Amino acid sequence: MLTIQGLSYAYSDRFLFKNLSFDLNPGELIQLKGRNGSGKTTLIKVLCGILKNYEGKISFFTSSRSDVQNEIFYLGHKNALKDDLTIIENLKYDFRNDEIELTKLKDALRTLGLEANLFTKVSDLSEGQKRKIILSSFIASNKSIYLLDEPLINLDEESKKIVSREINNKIKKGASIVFTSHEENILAIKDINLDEYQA
Amino acid sequence: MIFLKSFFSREVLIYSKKSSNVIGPVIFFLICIAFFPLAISNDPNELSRLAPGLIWICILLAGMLSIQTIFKEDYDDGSLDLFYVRRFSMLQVVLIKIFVNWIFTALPLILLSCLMVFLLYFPLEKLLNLIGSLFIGTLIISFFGALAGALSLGRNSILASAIMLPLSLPVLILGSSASTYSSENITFFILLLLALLFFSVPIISIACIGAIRLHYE
Amino acid sequence: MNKILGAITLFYHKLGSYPWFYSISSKLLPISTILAFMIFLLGIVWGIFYSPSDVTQGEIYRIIYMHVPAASVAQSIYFSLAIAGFVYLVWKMKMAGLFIKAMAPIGASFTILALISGAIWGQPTWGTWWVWDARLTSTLVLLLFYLAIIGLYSSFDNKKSADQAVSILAMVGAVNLPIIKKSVDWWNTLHQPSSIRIFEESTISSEMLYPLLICILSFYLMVFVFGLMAMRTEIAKREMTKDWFKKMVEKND
Repeated sequence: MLTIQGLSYAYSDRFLFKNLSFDLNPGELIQLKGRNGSGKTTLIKVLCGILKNYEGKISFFTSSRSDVQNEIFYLGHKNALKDDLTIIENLKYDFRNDEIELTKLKDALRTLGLEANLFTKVSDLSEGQKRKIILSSFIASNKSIYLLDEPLINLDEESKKIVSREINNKIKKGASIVFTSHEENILAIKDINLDEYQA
Repeated sequence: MIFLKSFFSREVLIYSKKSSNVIGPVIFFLICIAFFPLAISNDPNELSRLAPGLIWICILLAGMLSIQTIFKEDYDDGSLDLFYVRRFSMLQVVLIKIFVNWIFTALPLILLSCLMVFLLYFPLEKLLNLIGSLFIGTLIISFFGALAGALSLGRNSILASAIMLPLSLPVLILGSSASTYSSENITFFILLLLALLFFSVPIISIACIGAIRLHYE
Repeated sequence: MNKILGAITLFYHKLGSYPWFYSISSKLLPISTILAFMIFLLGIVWGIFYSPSDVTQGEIYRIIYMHVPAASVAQSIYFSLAIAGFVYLVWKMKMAGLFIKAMAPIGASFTILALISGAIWGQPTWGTWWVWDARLTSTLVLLLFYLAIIGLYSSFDNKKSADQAVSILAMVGAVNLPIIKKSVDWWNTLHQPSSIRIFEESTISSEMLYPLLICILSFYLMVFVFGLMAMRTEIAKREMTKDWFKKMVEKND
């Protein structure tokens, strides 16, 4: 699905990580670890094509049904939600997924316990609730590569469990997931500790 | 095409939900205009002579306030990241954002400047010149402002003004001249403004795309 | 033909390398400093003591030997910034970005010099320090562009982004400057019929012209010297931690 060889990223002449290599196969879950500033977010951004200024090789192998970039689901550190729009409006113009099946989204919102206030402005929600909105987009989506930056941040324990379960469901369906988190209780097939790749 | 439509309606929705985006420049414009007679003179002759320049300066300043933050929100909340992930055409993104911003911030000001016939004794027979030059001129200014905003994303806004205002000088000169001088000259100035518009749109759009990109190094 | 092309590419690659530039500039610097100083002295002494006084303006016109070179240099530097911006954006040549960073303050200084010397000249001849004349106004705008470049550069902490940003701004500004100049010209003819003439080109006699040309040449040499020094400083700032730089400093100690 994804092969990385000798990946390095420098910011202002300083290497965040150096010579990183790993494979990501269908149905695999990789957790990125490392202390703050070790480049976890940067690595995710490099993998999903936001940052192009890297050295090394990143190759994707998809079922070639469509463009690789369309097979990537990216959930960033920031929520990309508009404060003045309602939950449902935000999900309507959610550029993470191509087409939105409203029923699927509503199901996802229900699993996370947010279906009651679809017409609430995002600015009235708590940080955890905001995170849940984009996680519902994650749950409803159907892609083959998921790159998730701190998906569990700001969530309560129960929601963390729900999301971990959904991550496992995606894995079972053959998707590949890379995520960053400080949580220890998600069963990842392998850990990559970026502290070991410092310059 | 589907993307174009949905991105356009997203922008329109965001602007229509956030009324302060529209009202802010309008209030600023009216305050500026109201202060000039108080600071300079209330003599109708003098005011009507100064009116074109005053209107243009106020429009430029009011437009400056809103256009500079055009990419800021998408940058701060991470929407721009998603545009890159989905390989959106940044040219379309930039053009749509500038155009929607113009509709919601410049257009109300252009309509309001009709009021200046009463407030600043702007000569009625030249109103059409003023409106015509404002239509083209504010579009050009929007492009310069967007570039300034893109270059100084996440930095202070004084810097964006320092970049935008010198660039906008030709528009200010041509626009205020178009609304000052008699109607024989108007086509000359309007044509020049149009030329400037067609000249700057491609250059500034490309520069804008590069300027946004450089914040992702 | 291929040989020439090869030589050009080799030179280009060398120009892009910091160590090469640093060592070659340390050889060029003393010679060019002396040369610039000598030529400046020649031009200024000739201009002030040995050229005839102007029929209408008397002695005050001699400020031309500062004013015109400064104004000419100020404009040229801006266009060199735009070219460097182009080179940086198209070929990603690091040195071009560094060039913009180093030259912008120099250009701004010469623009200020041109404005101040113009004002000093204008006081006795026009009876006023400042006139909203086309040339003065566009020089003022030029200064604003320089300041915008300096301000924009300093707002970035990442050198690479800063280089890109100022490259874009320098190019857009250079495209705009002729338009600004032209529009200020129109505006000027509309507002004040040309009552003020700085100098008719033909009225400069050759005795005045030669020292002026020498002064202009010396200003360009000065810019070269200042530019080299500023670029060396900037290289030192950026490469302080690199091995080649440390070695070179140790060798010179």
